Amino acid sequence: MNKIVFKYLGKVMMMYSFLLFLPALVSLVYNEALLVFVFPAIISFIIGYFLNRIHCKDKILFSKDGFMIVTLSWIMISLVGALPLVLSVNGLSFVDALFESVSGFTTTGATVFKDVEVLDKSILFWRSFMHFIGGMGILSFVIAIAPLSRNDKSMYVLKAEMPGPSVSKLVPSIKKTLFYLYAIYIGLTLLEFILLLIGQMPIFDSILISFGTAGTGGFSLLNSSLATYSTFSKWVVTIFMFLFGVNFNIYFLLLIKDFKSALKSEELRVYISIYILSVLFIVINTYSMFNSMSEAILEGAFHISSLFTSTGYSIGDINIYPTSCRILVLMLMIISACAGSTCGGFKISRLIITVKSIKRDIIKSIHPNSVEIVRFEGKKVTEEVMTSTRTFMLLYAILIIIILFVVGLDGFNFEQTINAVFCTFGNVGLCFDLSSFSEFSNLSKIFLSIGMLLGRLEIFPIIALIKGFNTK
Amino acid sequence: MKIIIVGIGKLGEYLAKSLVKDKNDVTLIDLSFKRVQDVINNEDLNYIMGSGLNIDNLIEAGIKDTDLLISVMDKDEENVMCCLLAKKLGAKHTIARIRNQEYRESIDLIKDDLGLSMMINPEYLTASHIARIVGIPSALDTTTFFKGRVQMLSLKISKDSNLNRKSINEINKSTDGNVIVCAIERNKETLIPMGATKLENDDRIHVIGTPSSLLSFIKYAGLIKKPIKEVMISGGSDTAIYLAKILCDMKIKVKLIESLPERCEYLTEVLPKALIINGDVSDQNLLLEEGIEDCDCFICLNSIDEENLVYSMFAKSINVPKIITKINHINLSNIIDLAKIDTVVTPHIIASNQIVSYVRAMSNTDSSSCESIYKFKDFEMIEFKIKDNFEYLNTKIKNLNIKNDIIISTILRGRNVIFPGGNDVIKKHDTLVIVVNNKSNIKDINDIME
Repeated sequence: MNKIVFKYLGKVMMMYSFLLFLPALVSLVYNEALLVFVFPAIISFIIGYFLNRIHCKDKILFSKDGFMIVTLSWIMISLVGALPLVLSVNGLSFVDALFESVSGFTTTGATVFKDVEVLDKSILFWRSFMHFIGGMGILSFVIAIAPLSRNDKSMYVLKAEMPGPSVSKLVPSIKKTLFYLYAIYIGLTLLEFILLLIGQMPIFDSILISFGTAGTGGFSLLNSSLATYSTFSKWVVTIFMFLFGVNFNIYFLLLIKDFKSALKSEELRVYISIYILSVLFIVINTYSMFNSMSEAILEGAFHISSLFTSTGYSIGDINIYPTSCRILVLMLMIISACAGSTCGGFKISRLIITVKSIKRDIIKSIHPNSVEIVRFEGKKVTEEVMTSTRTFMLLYAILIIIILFVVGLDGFNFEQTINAVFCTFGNVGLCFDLSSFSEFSNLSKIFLSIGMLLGRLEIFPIIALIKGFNTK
Repeated sequence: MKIIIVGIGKLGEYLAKSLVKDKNDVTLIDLSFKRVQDVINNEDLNYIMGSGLNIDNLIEAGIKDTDLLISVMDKDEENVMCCLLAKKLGAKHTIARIRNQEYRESIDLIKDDLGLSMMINPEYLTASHIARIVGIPSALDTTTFFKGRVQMLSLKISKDSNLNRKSINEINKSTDGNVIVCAIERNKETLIPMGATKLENDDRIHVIGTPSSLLSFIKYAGLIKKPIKEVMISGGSDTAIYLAKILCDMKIKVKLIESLPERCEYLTEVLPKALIINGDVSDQNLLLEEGIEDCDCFICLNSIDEENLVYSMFAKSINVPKIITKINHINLSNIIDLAKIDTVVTPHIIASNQIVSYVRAMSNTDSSSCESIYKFKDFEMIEFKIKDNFEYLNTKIKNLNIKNDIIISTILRGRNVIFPGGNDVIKKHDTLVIVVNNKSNIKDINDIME
């Protein structure tokens, strides 16, 4: 293996140890056990320091190294991130803690805690902070901050981590691109935080919920998720969940005042159309269950926002949904929102490309001599992107079936098993007929964790890692 | 600086790499994804797939607030058209590659109307570069600074040379410090020499001096060679035509060998003074018959690198005193070292250096500006104009804390050329030539301080 991979890992771990001091600060404020976070931070720093010291010459980073760096980094941060959960007073077994931390970093939001209200404040903070880190990705954070060395081929690393069929840079330099992305990310989070404060939500709750929304995570700090907050706060969260599902490139276009191209975006249009139609469908099917129409609309809009963008907050019992709505929600969970946002899942851009390539193939079978190209956002889609999109879809299906089989061994009923797998693989975290994942066996938890990582990193990096180990 | 490069061939790629290294924001526009894939994966720049003549693509690349657009597509007409479009859309400066000599002259006439800041012709630049080297028989390579007042030569130390096993201090004593040895290439490595560094056999040294002082230095070194009177050129490319014209003007006899009869006819038409020979250069007998053994310099300008390499090696084997070879693919440089070919010219590097120096001068207008550069494998020579912002005005050089591997080689003050010693000072409005290692990223004169 290329030694520069370790060097990169070292940088990640060192940067990560500093991030662990933020929850430590919270535990200082609330007078809770400090060591819970300081200890993992030290471990992470030491590992990072030694990895970074590994001597390597100006080696060139190839595509496969990019995949390795990303996968190994995510595995490492998940392992270290599980430590606070093991060490805390509410101590979990290691497998449970790992599941929880993977669920945090991949912004899934599926929890093993049955009662989250008894947890330490600092632990609650850590869970939501993991969403915030994982939302944009740990490596993009490191690349944005760490100095790029002379032979740095960070594009490979970024490509492996960024969700979506292809990575587009906003501006020529990687650092500036990441700067804009982070500015948008943090700016939106701050805006939500302020609006929630205006809605008279407690500060601590607003911070955590803003983090959860930003990363499209879904860990809540109350057992009832968001059900007890004011209607205003619920609407704020609904809107921001929707906004974090939009491709960040659109915000950049708005920032540079290019409204025309922003509104012309095909992906955005499809996203909004699917969203509105789904809300309508849910409202029509469920309004009879609520006291008033406005309540029905809020519930519909909130839950579609939450499930479509793979966030996973809830404001009411979603188990009351009739089968038709459940199937719709399941479909939305698989598709998920736009590429280049913080959500998980298959992504709308892939859906569009797949549908269009199917259309092309059908036309070709009717008019064998016709020449057709697939356009997306007004540009020709290269054959490579199309092939990789199809392969991605196939792998997605195959892996879900494998995980379904393993989880099926636990003996939950058919619907619960399917729900659990889909909602972890799509990084959603909220699912029907299940409130906590604690009852699954350790084997299932490990497989579901792998599923979450596969979903977040979009499969290829992890497959490349396994292949890399095999072929050396 | 925001720079757009349209068209990614050898020149575009090399240019993109150099400009990214100088920390510019570079966006590429090209039709084919395959060609740029390697560049975008390895360099920190943006890429737009499509034609550079399409307004939408240019706007997407951010032409409105672009400082410079460089058009290096295949066709001259496209380049001119692209620059014209860019200017209309708001680009501040434009550079076009124009190869066709006839166009070049007519476009010169309407250059301002077209809004072109600069035209670049790699073939012509290569030809004049080669002609300069031919003009100094002892030198393997040469370049000039301060509009020709100061010259740089690379020389090879031979066994019986006076310089062999001498230290830099000894050399300085015997030449009164009128020339400065600024870099030594030894076993593929480049050293920036100190006073005690000793020169060895087979070293390749780069010296700076005035033309007259360099002449006496070469005499002192015992490296003098008789002036070149007869040149043989292989390959009748455009570069060969430019070169032959310049050489004929220098009263040098030119023999040009070209294998295509039609091309030969054309060559005879445009080069009345040169002797055009129709034949295959790979035919040894032909070369011997045409007197390769008696010619002073053999120049390979065929389009295929490998041919150039082999012909040069043949010429080397029969002891032609000076051999100049054109190589298009720099990846071959290791093999060239093995083949012991002394002078290699690469058109796209020469052209790229010209553009990079233009870009550096543009981006430096407020601070101490950097004017022209010369790049050679591991080191660069940069010309700086000193302005107010230089922090160590009027400080003695020996008191300056200059980084390792950097030499201030020349100072131009008014019309005087100074080769500075420890007691000299740098004043405002001076122009300096600085020799730096390639790895240190010098963009501003203050960067040379520790």
